[in-house]
Amino acid sequence: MEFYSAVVTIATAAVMSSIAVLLPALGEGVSERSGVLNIGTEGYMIMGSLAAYIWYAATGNMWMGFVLGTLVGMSLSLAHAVFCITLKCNQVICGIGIWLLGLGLSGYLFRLVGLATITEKLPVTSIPLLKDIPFFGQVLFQHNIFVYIGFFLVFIFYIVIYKTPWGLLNRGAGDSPFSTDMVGHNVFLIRYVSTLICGAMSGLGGAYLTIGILTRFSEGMTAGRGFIAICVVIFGGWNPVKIMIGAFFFSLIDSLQLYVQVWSIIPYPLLIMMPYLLTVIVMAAISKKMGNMPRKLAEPYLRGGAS
Amino acid sequence: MSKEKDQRVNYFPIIMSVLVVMFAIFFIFSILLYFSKFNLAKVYWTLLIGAFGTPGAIAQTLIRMCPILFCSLGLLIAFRCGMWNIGAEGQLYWGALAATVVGVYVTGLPALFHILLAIIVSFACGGAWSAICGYLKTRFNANEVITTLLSNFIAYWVTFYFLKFHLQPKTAFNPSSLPVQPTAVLPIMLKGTLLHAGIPIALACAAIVWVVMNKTALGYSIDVVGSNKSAAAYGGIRVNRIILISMFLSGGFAGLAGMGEVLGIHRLLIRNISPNYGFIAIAAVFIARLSPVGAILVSLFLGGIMTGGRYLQTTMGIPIHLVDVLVALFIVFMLLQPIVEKKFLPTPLIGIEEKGRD
Repeated sequence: MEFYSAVVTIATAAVMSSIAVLLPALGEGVSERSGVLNIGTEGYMIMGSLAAYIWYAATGNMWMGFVLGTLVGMSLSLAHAVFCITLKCNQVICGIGIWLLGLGLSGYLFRLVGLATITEKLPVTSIPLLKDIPFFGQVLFQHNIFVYIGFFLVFIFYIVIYKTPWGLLNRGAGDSPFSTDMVGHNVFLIRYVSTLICGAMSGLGGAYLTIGILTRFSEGMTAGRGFIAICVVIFGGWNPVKIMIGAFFFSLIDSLQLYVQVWSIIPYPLLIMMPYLLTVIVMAAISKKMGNMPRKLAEPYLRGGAS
Repeated sequence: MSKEKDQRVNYFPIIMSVLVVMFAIFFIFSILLYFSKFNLAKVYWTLLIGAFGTPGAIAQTLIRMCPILFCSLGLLIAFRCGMWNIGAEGQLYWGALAATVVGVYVTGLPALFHILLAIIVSFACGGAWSAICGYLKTRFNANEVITTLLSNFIAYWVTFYFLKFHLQPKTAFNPSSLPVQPTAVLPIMLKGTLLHAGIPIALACAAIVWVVMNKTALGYSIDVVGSNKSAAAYGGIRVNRIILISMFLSGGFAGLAGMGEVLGIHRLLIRNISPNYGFIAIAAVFIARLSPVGAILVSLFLGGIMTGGRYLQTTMGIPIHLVDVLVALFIVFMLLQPIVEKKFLPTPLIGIEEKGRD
């Protein structure tokens, strides 16, 4: 019985924390499909969480905190978009720069503002009826509202990507920007929108991290979740549903580490390392055939060039 | 990127564009300072004094220059080969781990051989780690950006695992290894400072890299592979081999950075041995336009900023993160330098070269 309750606790914690990876990963997936690699997701996230934290701690308005976090993430991604799409700079280097910028700026502003209030946690909203299902009811349907919003967003993203014309354009901008342009669609606009979606989702994920999970802000508290999001996208083959599964899987590993530390089966640093290692292996496995991978990932589109 | 010998290099656009971009960076930085209500002139003056004002400050600057220079030497080899190796941070950690193992557990060697052994082993470890990503590229065509990026975190956690579960003595509370043997410590160059022998080694490596890149067939092959893989293959260069070699050298130099940190400064392995030197070096290489000589100057400059930032924190109470912001602005805005440079060109001839790089 003790084992059962441990499993339930771990799975519940994993579902709750997976949202903080799922939201940025959904955004990252869309932007990678359009050919823009956002390595700075971590930077968007931490700035989003700082903005949400400051707003929430100062005014007590939780929802405006989420909005502000989203907007801050979006504005950082706008910078990335201007540099990488309009000015055609190297997306990798720019992403690293934006990550470090977010990391430094958030630490700096946090020290200057110096708020140290602990925020209130999001209330748990159980879904009637469904919550009474044994095991699954407890793991899936007794969470704060953002968990449900996160899963609903997976559905929305799936519909938009696979069932609407814009999803096809999004794919086209990443696979064959030249032909997309030839047919008369604005590749730059599509890429801009996709990058902004990534920024918004990452900012939202960061805000969720402060308000929903950790209820405080500390420097560097995203702790690589932005990079895990990139892993999840590759792991999930750029498909929202698989991304959701991947996010849950990696969060499960993350929540396991607390217990593993107690049980001491695997040393926990090696467990934390697992998602990265698995992604490298997956990357090596899918690269030969390319699979779902956007063909022009991280390549700026030059109009009239042979791209 | 290599300059043709018969073509006179026009330095005017380069210098002007760097100045313009630097101006933009410091302008934005000043806005940030202004809104944080700091005295601009005082901040910049303190930054300068903290970096180059006293002999001690200069020594600190040189000490911080050393790992950045090592990493950027490595990165420039990979970048010139067209491999976007952003894993210098992880390769640095492997180098640090290897140097610690050699430094702590190998005993009975005379100082010179002990240090040499540490250098070779850390070079090999960093290089091998980086070459794995190179192999994934040549064998499976795995995007090296992703694999090297993620290898940073793998290296960090593996190093931490060894540190926590194997190197850390049972009595120690914080994760840190035993101190390295006295024979393995890099000798101090100047009494009263911490100037260790890693700095001349780094400068010597810069010279070696310059010679290899500009005067040897290997350097030429690396440049050719970097600018056009199919042309290189057609010309009889074994592209995959060159990629592997360049990745190995690239990681090796980054590993030496870790070696310098362990044997020169801390004399034991600690958890966070590098404050993102591997990522800062990316900025350094870009500003230096992939040249070893430029890398020396730029890493000196960045080392100065980092040292000055520390001084800024102790004297004016400005959070150290401000320096991270400045370095990040450098990384982002230096991407604009080639674009600005084109504005200063008399004729658009060099545009061809730029296109080849992409």
